[in-house]
Amino acid sequence: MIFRANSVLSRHESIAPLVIFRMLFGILMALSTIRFAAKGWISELYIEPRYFFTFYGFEWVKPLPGMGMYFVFALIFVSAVTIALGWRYRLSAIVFFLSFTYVELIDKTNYLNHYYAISLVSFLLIFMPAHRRFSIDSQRNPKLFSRQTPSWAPFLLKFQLGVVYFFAGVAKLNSDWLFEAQPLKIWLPAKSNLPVIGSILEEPWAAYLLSWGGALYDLLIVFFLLWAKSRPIAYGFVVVFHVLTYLLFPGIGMFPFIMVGLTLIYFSGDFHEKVLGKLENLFSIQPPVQQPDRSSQELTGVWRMALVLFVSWQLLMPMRYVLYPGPLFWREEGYRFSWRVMLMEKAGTVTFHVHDQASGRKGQVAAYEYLTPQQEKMMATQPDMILQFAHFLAEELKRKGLIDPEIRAESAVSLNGRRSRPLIDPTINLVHQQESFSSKTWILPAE
Amino acid sequence: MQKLVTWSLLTALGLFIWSCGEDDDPRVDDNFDQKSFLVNIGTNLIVPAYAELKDRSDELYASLQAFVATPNPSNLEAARDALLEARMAFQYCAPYQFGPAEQLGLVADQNIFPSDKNRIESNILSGSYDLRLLSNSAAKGFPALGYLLYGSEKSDEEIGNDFLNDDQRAAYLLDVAETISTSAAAVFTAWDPSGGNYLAEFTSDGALGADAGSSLGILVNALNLSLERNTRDAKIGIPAGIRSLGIIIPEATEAYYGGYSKQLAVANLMAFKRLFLGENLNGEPGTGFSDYLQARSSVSSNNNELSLEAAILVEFDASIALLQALEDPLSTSISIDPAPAQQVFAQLQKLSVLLKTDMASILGVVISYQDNDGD
Repeated sequence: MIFRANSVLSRHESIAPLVIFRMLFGILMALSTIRFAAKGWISELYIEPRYFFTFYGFEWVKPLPGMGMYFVFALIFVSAVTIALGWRYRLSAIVFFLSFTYVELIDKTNYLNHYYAISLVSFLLIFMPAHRRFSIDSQRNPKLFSRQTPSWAPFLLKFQLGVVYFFAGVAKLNSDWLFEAQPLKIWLPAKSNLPVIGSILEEPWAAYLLSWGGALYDLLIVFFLLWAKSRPIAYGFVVVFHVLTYLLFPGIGMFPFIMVGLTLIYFSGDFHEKVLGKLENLFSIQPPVQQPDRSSQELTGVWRMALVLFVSWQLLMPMRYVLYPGPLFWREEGYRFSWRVMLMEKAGTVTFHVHDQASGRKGQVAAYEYLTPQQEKMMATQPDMILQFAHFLAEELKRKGLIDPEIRAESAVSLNGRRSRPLIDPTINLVHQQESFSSKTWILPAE
Repeated sequence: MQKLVTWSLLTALGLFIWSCGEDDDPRVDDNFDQKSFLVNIGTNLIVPAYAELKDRSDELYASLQAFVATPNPSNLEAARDALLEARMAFQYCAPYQFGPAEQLGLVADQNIFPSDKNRIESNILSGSYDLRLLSNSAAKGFPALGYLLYGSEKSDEEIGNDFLNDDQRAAYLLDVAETISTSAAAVFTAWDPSGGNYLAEFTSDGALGADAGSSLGILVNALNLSLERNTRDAKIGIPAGIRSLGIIIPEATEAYYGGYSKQLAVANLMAFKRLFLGENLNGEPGTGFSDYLQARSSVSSNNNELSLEAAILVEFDASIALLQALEDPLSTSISIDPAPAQQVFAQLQKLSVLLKTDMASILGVVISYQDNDGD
């Protein structure tokens, strides 16, 4: 990935890849939102739960009451459509980024890496001139029209998608994945009912082949996409890989289609010019002949700094786990926001022991009395969520008249097929533990 | 050129791994026949369990009709026996509260406990009630019949006279029994190959695999939900004060009036154990979860002395033994000393962990009673 900083910061290139990216992004987001709503998830994930697991530092983010969340999803949908249309593009991108990110911040139960990717991409799109061709904005205001974009815009999008792939590959470089073929050794035989490939999936070598193949794919695909000669074949791999993951793991939802669509950004300006030219013919759009002044799009001063900061953040964030003692998959300190996708088979159960100091009474609380099944499942394997719930529970019990309840977690977690073990020290009163960026001392060893 | 390089790399890698895999444990049969597993569970366990429930429910209804016609102590005794038989049959259906049973609301019709005696008495008094209403769940089913047939602190003579002198009371008893009987028949018919044939759906090729919506996924989720909430919590934990900071709730036991809550709980746990082993109602062997786990043993990379299927059996047997050691009436024994029941709860917790976490994980089943995306 050799980009000369200078060319990225000051050169210009065809705007067509950026324009097509904008439209695909908008269309895919609109479809994803329809799917999300059709499955009833707006109510199930953001209205029905009585407790929400907020992110550290974002405890102030709360879902809107009543029909408010439907309104937020309507905003997401409408802004996705107007991004695709290029209508009031910059406002649309801002509205999309804010509303989408707001929803994602409500409950970490629903955290998915591709949602994080969507937040980042929509954030980047705010600053990009993706509406300066084949858009309602540029039709209404011909001065806006441009055949060129500063190179930093497509660069940043390629960089962002490249980061997703590359770090997903780096994350696979661990002994369970490479040498035990876990978790694929568990996941693949469970799909042995699939036609044609089903019987192959039961073979142990299939798990190894797909583990190594998957790691190599993630690590290398960006470089093969960047290299013009290998690009068509590499894109073929992108399509095959994502269709395969969709067939094997339908639970990953829209993600494969989003990646298949968005990785088209790696294709050349000529390729996109042809496509866009056809689209313009189809809609009988006559692009203006004159080129507007484009000096205002140069990336200078503070913006250069911002770009460097963004790139550094993206490169450092997935590596922050090295600051924690590990093992990462067991403790999950520095796990999120790092492109660790479909990486482990982890399941758990947790129950909470309550001891009321004042009365000396003891009992247990089942999380299902307060949480949705999905919340309970996600919490059971993630220490930060267990801590959050313990604090929530203490407040609930205080409201019911307990003065100083002690809460301890009895947990059992199975990772990649290993026999379950306690995750949380059952002797620790979680009420007295606080969330922070430092490592949690009350997580028990993995072996 | 690029293609050539990539493919040759992948092929080389594949061959390398193939050669590594040769010395795999030879006794491991990775090609587990999931279909025959589901066919055994469906044909030899589930359908017979629902057939038994239907028959016992019909007999219960018939014996209650006889009792209402002639409310003497011997007919009361017969009715009570029929109630116990039907409740025992229900225990063997408890792990299978999905599909027809879930859609038809079998549990709501048959076994919501503790029963609400005030609601029952006010229904009888008014004579106008709709037993299909959700609000009447605690006023019907076996627990309501338990209340009506055993009452509290009344002699058998008095109980008989209650029905003799009160037509509305007799009518209510029969209405509850009829609801039970109708509900059991509906669920059985829905499963029955000569009826709705849900069995065919349960064992169809389209329902194979482990995804949400697959028969395995549904079964594993249903059995864990039932074991955790109905067996561990409702039958033991809640009465023993686990969920109420140690305050014992004797009237929350399953058969508070009949006094055989422990007996029901033992049968219930036996039903789960037989499902795990794939044994039919007569204890004859078949393909069960234990075989499934054995076939998947190559994926559990651990150095435990016991295989997972053996470890689960140990917890089953320990749970059943501790449960057997409790004394009926459970409501009385936990009031005297809740500690043994609390031990049963802790033991059931261990069993639940292995079934919900380890077994589900090895089988690739996601425990979620809810549909969602994941990554």
